[in-house]
Amino acid sequence: MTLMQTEQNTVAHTVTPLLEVTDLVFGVAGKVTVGPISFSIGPGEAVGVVGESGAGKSLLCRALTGMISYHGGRIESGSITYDSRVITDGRQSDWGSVRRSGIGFVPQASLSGLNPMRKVGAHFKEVLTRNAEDRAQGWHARAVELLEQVQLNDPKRVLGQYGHQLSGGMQQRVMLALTLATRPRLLIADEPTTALDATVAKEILRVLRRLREEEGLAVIVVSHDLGVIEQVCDRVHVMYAGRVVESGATDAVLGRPLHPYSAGLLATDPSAVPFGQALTPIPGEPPAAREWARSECSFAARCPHARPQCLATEPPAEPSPHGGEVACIRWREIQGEVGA
Amino acid sequence: MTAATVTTTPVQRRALPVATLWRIVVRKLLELVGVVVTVTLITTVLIRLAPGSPASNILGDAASQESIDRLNQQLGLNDPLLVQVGRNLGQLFTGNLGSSIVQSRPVSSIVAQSLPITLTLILSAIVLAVVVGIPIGLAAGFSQKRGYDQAVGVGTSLLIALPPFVVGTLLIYLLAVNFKVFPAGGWGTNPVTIVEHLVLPAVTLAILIVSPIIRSVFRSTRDATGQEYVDAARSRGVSSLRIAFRHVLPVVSVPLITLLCYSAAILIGGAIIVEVVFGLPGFGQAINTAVLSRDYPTVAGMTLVVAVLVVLITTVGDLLTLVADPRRRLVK
Amino acid sequence: MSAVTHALVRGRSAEARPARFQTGWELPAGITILVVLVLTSVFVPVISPYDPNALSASILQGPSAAHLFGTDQYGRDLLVRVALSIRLDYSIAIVGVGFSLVVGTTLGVLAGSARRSIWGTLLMRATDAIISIPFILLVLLIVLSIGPTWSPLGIPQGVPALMIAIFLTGWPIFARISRTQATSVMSEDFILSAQLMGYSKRRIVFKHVVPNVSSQVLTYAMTDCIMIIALTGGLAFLGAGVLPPTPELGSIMNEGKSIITTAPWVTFFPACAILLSAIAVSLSVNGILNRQNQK
Repeated sequence: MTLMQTEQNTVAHTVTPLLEVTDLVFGVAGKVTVGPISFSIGPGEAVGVVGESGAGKSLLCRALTGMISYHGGRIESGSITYDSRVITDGRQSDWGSVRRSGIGFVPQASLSGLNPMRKVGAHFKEVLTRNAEDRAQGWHARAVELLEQVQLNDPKRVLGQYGHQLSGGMQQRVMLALTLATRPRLLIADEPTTALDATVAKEILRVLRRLREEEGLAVIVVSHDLGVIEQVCDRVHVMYAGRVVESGATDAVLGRPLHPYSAGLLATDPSAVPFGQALTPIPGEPPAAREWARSECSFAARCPHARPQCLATEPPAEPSPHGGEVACIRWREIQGEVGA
Repeated sequence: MTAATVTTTPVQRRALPVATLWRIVVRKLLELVGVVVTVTLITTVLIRLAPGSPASNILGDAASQESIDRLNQQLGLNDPLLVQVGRNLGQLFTGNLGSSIVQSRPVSSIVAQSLPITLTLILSAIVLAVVVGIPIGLAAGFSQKRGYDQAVGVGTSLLIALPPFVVGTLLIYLLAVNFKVFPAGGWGTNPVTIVEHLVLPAVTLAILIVSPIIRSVFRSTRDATGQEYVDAARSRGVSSLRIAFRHVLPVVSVPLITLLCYSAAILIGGAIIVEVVFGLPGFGQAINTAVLSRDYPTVAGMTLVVAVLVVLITTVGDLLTLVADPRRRLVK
Repeated sequence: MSAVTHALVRGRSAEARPARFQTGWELPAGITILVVLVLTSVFVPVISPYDPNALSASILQGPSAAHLFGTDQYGRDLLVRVALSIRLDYSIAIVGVGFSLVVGTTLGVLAGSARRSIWGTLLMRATDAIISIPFILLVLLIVLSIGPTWSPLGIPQGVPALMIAIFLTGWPIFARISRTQATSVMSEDFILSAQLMGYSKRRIVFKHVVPNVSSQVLTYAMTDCIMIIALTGGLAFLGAGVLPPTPELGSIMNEGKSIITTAPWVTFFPACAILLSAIAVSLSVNGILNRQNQK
């Protein structure tokens, strides 16, 4: 870890971080390798991970919740430390206890996270009969309370319904409440607003912000949507082809991106480009996971600033003035060009 | 095998209004009437086509032409085909299946005596196959190792290739003759001996359907584990065992119910062979005896019973899927 | 810049090789077993030069150099009888399934690609009734009505009736499968565009419908062969089907059943032949399906 980042971390966490990820490399053998990725998050903080679909974001969520083995993958190297405990070395049972209460995961909003054969109530009951505190209150009362917390109307009726009877926004709120039922200290949300309409998305994000501010919940938001990250997160990690190409404070990275990919992503974001101005798409397609290059800059093929030396080696992560890192050998030159 | 491959329709995922339920019931009842008429037609035609008249078969070669004619007249076999079909159907609606010309008793009494044994056999086989097949299918479906698809694929194709009469004979040789663990055939008189006599036939019949069960459970488990709700449940710290039996099993059970109900014809067909191999005095044995002794009314009556049973069971299966799957359940 | 793109293209194409095509061992294994069985049945006169039906004094002898599979209760050589049974059972399966396939698929494709669905509906209703009677019972009934002793053209007794029964019960299934498949192909967009381009109906059926139907129909035909082999044996075991003394795997087993304690080989060898045949075909089908899934 670089000096600058260490410094930044010490500033951010006077106490020990809740979750610390160090040089994590993971993947599915023969198909995809993601990383190395390093970051840390403290109580009440919010970190965003942004990138196009297929950049390895969903796999990252699975890795951070210890579920990557269920998808045929494994953690190759590096470590995940939760609450000062290294859990990557441990067995699956360690992950089990972390998931039971600790790290919560809200799956992608566009897919149903509710079992089609079970009522919403059954999902809650399963979680809320596990610990004495919830049992004392009664699972039903507690479930209603949780659903009210995520601003769902008529929670009692919803508990008796099935997932397919709910709208997308309601399903997402139920998923959020279900995750909160495990009393997590860290919440990982995978594309929390995809496939929801704008007003509903805004409400979900408001709930996330409120949870963070009022309950001191740490939040990791994974999304392809810069607007979502901007509204919730203090820091952002931009991923491309399984690597973090740029990280830093959200305002700084989105205000003045250093990596050409971050800049390109910003130029395609409707919320960032002034109204009436054309969006500039990044030319070409993101490479398929099988073709993620590890001996050159994987963005070079689509990069307007690419030079032959970009193909010579994979660019190392350098400390950036945004309080994070940037993985581009030409970022200083490009900043000069753009500035001039 | 035949029926299951052909008639299993893809399950439509949408809720049905109550009116549709009644439409399904009515349609199935009409189908039942159609099947009854067609089956009666088929058996009547087949009997008419048979070489030598039934009467000559009953009375033997030495009988005089007069007595043969008289018996044929008595049995109504000289009437035109359609009259025969009509009369058979008419009898049916009065609950009369005809009477045996060999055993000189009503077909319905033969059915009443033998059917319980066959149903016991088939139900035991289903229970065995389900109890063995579901855990195997679930375990293989949950495992992420690539070898398991192959193992399931090869294992089930080997199992499906075992004809019941071969399996039955080998089981008799190994477990009844060599090691004398189970009786080689026949039927018991009290619950204990009945169970003893039931084990080997039930195992033989179970082998016939265990492969499709494993395949169905395996495939739907694989589908389910790729779904977000399994991941979401895991992320809430729900144990793997609970996920398997509380989350995945209900989802898996819907196509399984369809499969089992549509296997009715195969199971009854298998029961004919198994009962003959093990000498069980059941429905299959009785119908085989009737065919071989050219007891035409018994053959026709029993065939009809089988066809009606099969249609009823598939109807029950269709309705059960409606109840089991909340996505298709009725909206009021 | 061009050097960069060039290098990229080169690098990409080297890495983007298609996934390794896995051949799988099931299909070769299945075919090998079948070839061995067929070769045995063809060359059996060389290996074991006995008359399959000639009685002899050396009854119920265990497997030996003179009689590799031993002899039965009439002193007949079992190797010859099993080998000839394989010939007979395979022929019954191939001829029976072949006729069902040709007739059923033709009717199914016609019903499926016809604009009016009356034929299709009629076909479905007829097959409903046929499917609701267990296969073996239906064959039993048909064999009974044709008469098991009928033997035109010197074909062994029971065989013609059995083949007709297999055909009568088999074609509706093929018709049903190919009709379903043809109907779904006919609703595809490329059929509509072919029709709009003015291609003749015959051309559309042969160019688009038949190829799409054939793969499903052929895999079903192979599975059907397993059932027919089991059925032929099973019927003989029930006392119908191929009649003695014509050697047939099921009837040899049936004869061996009563003497299974003293002469298990009489039952064992035909049982092995049936199991091996069925397993070989089943493995092949599995191998073929795996290949199709990989594509």
